[in-house]
Amino acid sequence: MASSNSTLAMSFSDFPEDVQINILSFLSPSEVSAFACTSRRFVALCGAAAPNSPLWLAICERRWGFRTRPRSWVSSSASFARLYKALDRWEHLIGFWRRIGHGGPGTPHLVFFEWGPSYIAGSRVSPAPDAAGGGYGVLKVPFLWLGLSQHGELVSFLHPGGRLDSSADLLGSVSDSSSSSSGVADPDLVPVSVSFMGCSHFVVEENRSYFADAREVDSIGVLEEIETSSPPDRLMSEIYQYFAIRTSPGGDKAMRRPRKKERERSGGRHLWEAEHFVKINKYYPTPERPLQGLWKGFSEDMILEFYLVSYDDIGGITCRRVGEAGEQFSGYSPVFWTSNTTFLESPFSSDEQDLYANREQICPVNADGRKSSDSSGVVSRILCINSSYDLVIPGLSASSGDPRNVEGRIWEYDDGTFGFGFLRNNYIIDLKHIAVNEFLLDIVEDL
Amino acid sequence: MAKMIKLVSGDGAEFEVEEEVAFQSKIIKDIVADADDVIPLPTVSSKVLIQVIEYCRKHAAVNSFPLSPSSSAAAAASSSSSISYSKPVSDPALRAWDNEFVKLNNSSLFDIVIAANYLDIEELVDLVLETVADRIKGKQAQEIRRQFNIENDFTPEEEEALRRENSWAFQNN
Repeated sequence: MASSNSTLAMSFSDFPEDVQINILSFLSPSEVSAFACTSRRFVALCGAAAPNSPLWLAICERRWGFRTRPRSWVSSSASFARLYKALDRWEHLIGFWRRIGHGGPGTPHLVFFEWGPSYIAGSRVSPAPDAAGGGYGVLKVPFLWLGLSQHGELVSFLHPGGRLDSSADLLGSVSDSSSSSSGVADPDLVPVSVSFMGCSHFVVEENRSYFADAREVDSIGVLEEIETSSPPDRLMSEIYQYFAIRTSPGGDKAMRRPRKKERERSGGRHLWEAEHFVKINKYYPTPERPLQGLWKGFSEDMILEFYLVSYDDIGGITCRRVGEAGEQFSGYSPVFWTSNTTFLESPFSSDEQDLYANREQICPVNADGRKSSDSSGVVSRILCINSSYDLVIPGLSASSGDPRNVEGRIWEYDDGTFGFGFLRNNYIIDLKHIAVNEFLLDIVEDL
Repeated sequence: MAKMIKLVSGDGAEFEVEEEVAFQSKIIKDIVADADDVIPLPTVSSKVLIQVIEYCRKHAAVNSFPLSPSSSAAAAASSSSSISYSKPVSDPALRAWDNEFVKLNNSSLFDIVIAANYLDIEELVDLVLETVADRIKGKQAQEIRRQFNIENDFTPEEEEALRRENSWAFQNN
């Protein structure tokens, strides 16, 4: 009930300003704009265009303060309402994505986006070589950074090689940045634009107008500080902090991008192809979908691979490798699938027990040549699976083969992980989680 | 033997509360550290003080300590120092109790906002501020003014222009 005697009743306007801001920081932008229309005082307080608006900073802090430092994304004169828009838009990037279409050979397919203090960083995730990290290690190499420029514009940069050749280059680039008005501080950084096509698909393309703008303004010579000519200092220092501790003496010369002058001379050719990414929405199991998610395990070739298990709308489960290297048209062949998701519960028939008991778990081998087998635990449930979409008709000799060729099992362990194998051989491929709670597990340093 | 603190309301009524209940107010905790155990609160009426004490008593038993490390970093970074992002109450029974507690008319709710802010009782502040925000959501400006006693100091032309401008700016949200 609203108070009937308005001259004695307290007004929202009587609250101290910090209390007002605190209350309004719970609102969405459209609700804020409704509130702004109540009086002159609140138009001023809620104004989106105002620089340093304490209300819009509070809104950003309340929504993203646990994950990033909203204040450090922008310089002092920036509009926090713009920051809100940027964060609201780019928040969708957080998590795992899968690269689709063509790409450089050997470029990992799995990509992981996470919050930084003043940016969002995307990293390519791939199995670590040489059984690093106890065999299940993964490499996480940042390659894409998204932040805000001095003037509140969205900017994003990509480093194609994923590493700098030497620290000397690094220092040389830094000292150039203040004096150079014609280009990016680090010529290996490619300005890109990140465009969403719906929520689950985005494209990263070279942003060629980035340099064009800089040249135009140069010729006029009016502005001393050119807005789009160099990346924001804060963003650059964060990027350098990552690279500064990773120097590679020999360098990966093959991956080195041409310097900016060469790019200009190339006269407009795209030197870096656009990449498309599709979201992996469900990378962790749920109680209703215990097998779903991103997993890693050793294939029969003793190579660490990534697998994605998804549930479809008609009650089936499919597992595919993430990134069939070099196979553009892999024919969609799954690693395993099933349309019946009813598990067999314990106690298991003796046939089933035999099926499991005589198998060998594929494990990484230690430096001393011995298998590091960590026992995965007791089998709690079993599921029947198939490894091929080929139709197998029992009794028909011309069919693609013995049903035993394609039939297999999933053995779910009591710790929530599972292993799978097929009747045609004696292996078990045990799978482990790639990430938990938005944190990648078993990250190995990229040295 | 629990140590008792005596609180005196604006209209002179005295309330004895256990120390751990009273110390949910950072202000009271600071005052007791320096002075004696009788604390005058001239700006808080008995009616409001009773409600605040009721809240503190309920929460004293399940007191989760205020700022988690990540939220203290966020609070430190923000320019408005009064913003604290303490963890939401996780116990469902306590949350249900809180929801009942804030079933008040706007006038009473506002009184508690002022008192909780003055006494610096973090969880209560968060609770009542969010409650007020919930009452703003979904309302148009005219309704908000009526409910919260905000004076409309626009001319009709200004108001119309503003409404058009703002709704256009935030159309996609």
